[in-house]
Amino acid sequence: MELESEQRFKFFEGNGLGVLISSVIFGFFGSAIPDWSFGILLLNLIITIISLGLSRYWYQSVKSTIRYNSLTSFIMLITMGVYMAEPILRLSFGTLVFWPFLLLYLVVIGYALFKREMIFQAFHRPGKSKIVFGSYLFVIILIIISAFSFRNGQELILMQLLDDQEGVFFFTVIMYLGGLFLSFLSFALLKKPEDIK
Amino acid sequence: MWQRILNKIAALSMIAILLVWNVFPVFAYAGEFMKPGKAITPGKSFAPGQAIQGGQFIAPGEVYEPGEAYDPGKAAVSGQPILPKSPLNNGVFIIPNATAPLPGSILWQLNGMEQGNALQGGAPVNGGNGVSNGKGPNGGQVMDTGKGPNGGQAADAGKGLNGGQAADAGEGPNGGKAADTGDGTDGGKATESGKATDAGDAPDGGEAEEEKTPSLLNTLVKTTDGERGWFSHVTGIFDDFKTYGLGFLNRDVAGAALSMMAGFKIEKIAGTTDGYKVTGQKNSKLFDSLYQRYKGYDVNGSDRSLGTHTKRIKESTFNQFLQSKELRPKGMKLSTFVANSIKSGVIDGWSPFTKKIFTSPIKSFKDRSLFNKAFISKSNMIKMNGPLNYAMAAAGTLWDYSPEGNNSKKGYFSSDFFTDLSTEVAIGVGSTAIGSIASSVATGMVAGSVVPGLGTVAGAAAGLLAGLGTAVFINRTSLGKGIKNGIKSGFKFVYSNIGKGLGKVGGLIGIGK
Repeated sequence: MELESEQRFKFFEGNGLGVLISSVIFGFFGSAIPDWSFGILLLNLIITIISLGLSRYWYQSVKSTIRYNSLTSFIMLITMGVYMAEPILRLSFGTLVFWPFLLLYLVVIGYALFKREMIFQAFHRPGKSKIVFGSYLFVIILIIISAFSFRNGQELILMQLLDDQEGVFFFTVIMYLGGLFLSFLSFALLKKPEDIK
Repeated sequence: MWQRILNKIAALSMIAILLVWNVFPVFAYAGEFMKPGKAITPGKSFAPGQAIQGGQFIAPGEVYEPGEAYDPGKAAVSGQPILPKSPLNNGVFIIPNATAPLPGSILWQLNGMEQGNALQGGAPVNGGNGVSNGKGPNGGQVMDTGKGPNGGQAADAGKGLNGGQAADAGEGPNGGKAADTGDGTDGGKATESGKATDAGDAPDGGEAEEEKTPSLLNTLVKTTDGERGWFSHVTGIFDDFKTYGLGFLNRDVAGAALSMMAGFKIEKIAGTTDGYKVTGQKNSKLFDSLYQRYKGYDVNGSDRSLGTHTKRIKESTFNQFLQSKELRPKGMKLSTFVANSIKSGVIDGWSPFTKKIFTSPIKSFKDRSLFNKAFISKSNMIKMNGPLNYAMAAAGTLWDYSPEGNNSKKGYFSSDFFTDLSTEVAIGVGSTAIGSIASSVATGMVAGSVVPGLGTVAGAAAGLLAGLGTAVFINRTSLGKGIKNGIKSGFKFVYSNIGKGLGKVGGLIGIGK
């Protein structure tokens, strides 16, 4: 796909709106699952305000539209990752399981930050890239699990097999893995357009 | 004389000397250690206590006078009967002089009568013979009532014959078939009655074939079909994946993945304003059909496809390709793209009508522009949208209110059924909208970034996670359950009032009294 001639729209007609909407939707899920928490809601509101503030700053300071779109997309995906990781961290908080979840999240973030060039190249020139193959494989597995879990807000066979506690734990783990995946992908967007060879 | 006096004096002196020398030392020694003690000081005199105040003088009461001695009386005369004498009335009934109970009063007629056991209905007459010769013993009687327009009529007929057991049969959803079976005069039709699910059995006694009709839930979601145990579940999983999984994978994810891996690219031609070139390689034969399908797109109902080495296409063509892949076209605002995605997701997914039906007055229902063609289009159905959305949303509720379900007593004509159905559809519409928003935001934002190819996979993941989040929130959290119950209560209130209103209208015109 081509990289040129991206048009700059008004802040809330373009990616600024996307940052806001994604934070509202996924921030709500982060606050409401496994149970409602005003504390987490407040935390997510602060994250949303910071995200919007940064986006607005880039909107005014970054001249390249592609760069601006990339940075705001990065903010969107990384915050989605945080919101999706929150439920399992909240559920496991106070137990030994909490630390592996937190550690894994930090390791993935650190690794993706360190290998961001490799991730970018994988999606820029896919070819036989294992990262691209793995990414699509992950999404396909997610689709398969989802196909048997829910549809239009209704529970399907997989969710019905699990009781309340098991179901919440299982699906918050799935959300956590999805959050890790989005966080991992997000670092590819930090590549500057002028550095692309 | 003087002598005597002197002798006395001498004797007294001797006694006095002896006493002094024997007693004086004792007194002299005692005087050394015997000293006088202290004089005792007088103590305080005791003060007299206070006199006890109050109290009442006890006045002496009157002395009881002894009573008179009892008179022992006279002794009873033995032999006198205690009960008074009366004439014997053995063998004579005493008829009270009361008015006879009014005839026809159930109270008096049945008062005191013990209730016997209710008559048990006999076993339904097995008209198996009727299949072969049609001359079953009950066939003639069923014929009169069996011609009713629906199975319920036929069920009543059966009730008369066997004491009511046939009534259950008449309530079967497929009772309509039983009406035909009432024509038991000829044995041939009795054979058809065997196909009736329930109702066909009782009226004509025909031996219904016990053929289990698969439920709607099992039909739509084959994974739930347990007719053949675990084998059915396992094969059902593959069937469902083929139906629901691959249908989605073909178009949105697998095709995009294969196109990326094949190096399929659409790039702007340098120096032009709206010229794009398409490049790509052939994919492996195994997945080539998916790749070819991904390159196809739809323009006003006609199928087209991009070649792998097209030198130049216009931006409008490129945008049509992007739109068919639910990607953000060039020059489109994110807000517009998201709005379009919600519209296509909700309207194409759920509404058989176009928005024209809501915005402009309806002149005629023959106007085709009122109906949403995409609702029943093949591409929409492949994504399990349109009517299949309703079928999927209703499947669980239909099952619950079927004769096999938990709410079988309420049935399909209860307000609870419509309440549950409406709630599921409302949640389905909301869930579709949330998934569409999340997916289109991620796809649209990343499409304008430095890695536009990431948009497909990020959008798919975001949409799935939003759908998962909605399902978990609505079904597994207390707040979500509360919201669901609130929606249900709202529908319940509406349907209850509609029911009351219809009842009043029916009352005014004399229906339902």
